[in-house]
Amino acid sequence: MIAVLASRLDQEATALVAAWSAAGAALLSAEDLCSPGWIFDPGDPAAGTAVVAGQAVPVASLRAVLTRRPAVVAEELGAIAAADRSYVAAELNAFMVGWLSALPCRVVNRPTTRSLCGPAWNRLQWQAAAARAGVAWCDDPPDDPAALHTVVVCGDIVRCAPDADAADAACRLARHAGVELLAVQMFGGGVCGVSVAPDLRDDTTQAVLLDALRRPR
Amino acid sequence: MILLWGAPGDAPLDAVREALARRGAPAVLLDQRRSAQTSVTLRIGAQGRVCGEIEDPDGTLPLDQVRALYLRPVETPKACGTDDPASAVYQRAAASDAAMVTWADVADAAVVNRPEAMAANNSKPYQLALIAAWGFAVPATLVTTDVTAVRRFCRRHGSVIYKSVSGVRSIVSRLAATDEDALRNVANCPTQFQQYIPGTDVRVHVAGDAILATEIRSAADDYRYASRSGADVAMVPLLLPDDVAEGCRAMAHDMKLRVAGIDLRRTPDGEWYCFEVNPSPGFTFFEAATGQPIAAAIAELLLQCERKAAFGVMADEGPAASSGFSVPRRVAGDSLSAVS
Repeated sequence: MIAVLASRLDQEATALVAAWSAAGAALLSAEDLCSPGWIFDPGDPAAGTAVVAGQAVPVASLRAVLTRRPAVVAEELGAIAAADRSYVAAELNAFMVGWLSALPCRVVNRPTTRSLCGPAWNRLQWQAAAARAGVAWCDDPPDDPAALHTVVVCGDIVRCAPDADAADAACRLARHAGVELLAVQMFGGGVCGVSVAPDLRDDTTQAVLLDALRRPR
Repeated sequence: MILLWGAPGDAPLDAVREALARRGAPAVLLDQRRSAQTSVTLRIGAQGRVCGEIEDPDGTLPLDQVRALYLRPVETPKACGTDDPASAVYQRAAASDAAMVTWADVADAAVVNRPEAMAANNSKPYQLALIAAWGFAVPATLVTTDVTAVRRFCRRHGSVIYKSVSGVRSIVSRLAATDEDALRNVANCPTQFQQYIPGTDVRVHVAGDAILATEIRSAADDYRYASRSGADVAMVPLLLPDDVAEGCRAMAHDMKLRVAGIDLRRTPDGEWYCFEVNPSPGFTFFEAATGQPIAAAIAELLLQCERKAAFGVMADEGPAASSGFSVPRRVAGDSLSAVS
């Protein structure tokens, strides 16, 4: 099974799960996190159970997890008493950081202590990371989005790079950030935007990502 | 220069500030209560270094003058006096606080402690895995929404405690066999259960290479709330065994924490368990009870970082994971005697 950690309201994620149904993909939602059936022993994470798409499943049956959200927010926990939602959301996020970090299977992107899907960096932090990785930053990109290239790094594969230098820059930034999946917006050889949750509507990107998720960790 | 950021009235912040003043250190307080009147400008400089300045009602401080930073921020609403996200005061304070947190993560200065490093404490099972990797014994742990699994865990371990999974402060409580209310809530929120470890609590404060350990004698399950259960608390300075002291020092260093409050328990068999590493310890509770010079040790660490930076030593080298120091070091210039 491949679990996609995302909101039920995330149409891109639900479409991805449908597209990957033959590969055993299923949505791991906030509602699942608040359901009976989770068992996590930090000393033996592989022996536990998870709840995915409403079903308790052995952790050992998870081949990979794709994380598509930085956090669970209180507002989406409609089944929890309003007064308890903020507390429960904090608990769920803390639980997910511990669980995802301990999983023996592939997790893309792996969580950090402040986000479930890779570093929770703002623009300035990405700029600093780019500078340290030796990647140029473009401060003044054109308004026309069509003038920008969005390069997607997916494990060892780079998609949609206009040239080898752009591919190399995107890979260096991904390595520096410690992520396997990254969208890097580029203009004129410089980076002007970064996302740890790239647009996955493209069939080829979906296929490349699925292949990466199926590889052993 | 050493910059302190937080809200005056916070006991650890005040204690470090006073300790620095006693040393005549070049320290400046950035008062978080005035965040709405403070602007923090950050930009990328040469070689990816983040530079900029802080402007508050007292003037402008170029960030490249700050060589050491001690952080004790409170939540923005508490500092600025409003939790109304639509208010201009809240928005200005939140923007200023967020910029300070960003800068603390990427600053060239020595930071006690970087927010990124502190965040590990927000997930107890995550931090427990780091602690176990350092070789400390950790209690058997279960995080679950499955009531049957809890009952099985209780049967296996006998006495069991429960507490929050996140960094939200909770009272550590012993699970009673009849506590059906607590178990009902488990089904909708992952809850952390741990094997109860009998023994004596020890709080270890690490400040760079300095180690100050305090033994806590109390019959309460959570000594921080002992008065609620009518239990007494007594605290005395403790000299740790060499290997335990070195383990604490090295673990804090590995977690990139220049200052840490490590919660240990020594069992009657002499085994040392570690429960948690607090990245922003409220050390004044222990200092007031024992007279241990914890604020002075933190002040000394900040001064060392400040001096190293003045001589061009990169801040991120951090405290060395040196070996051989098992005796808490006397803090130079402080009138209090060494812990024994």
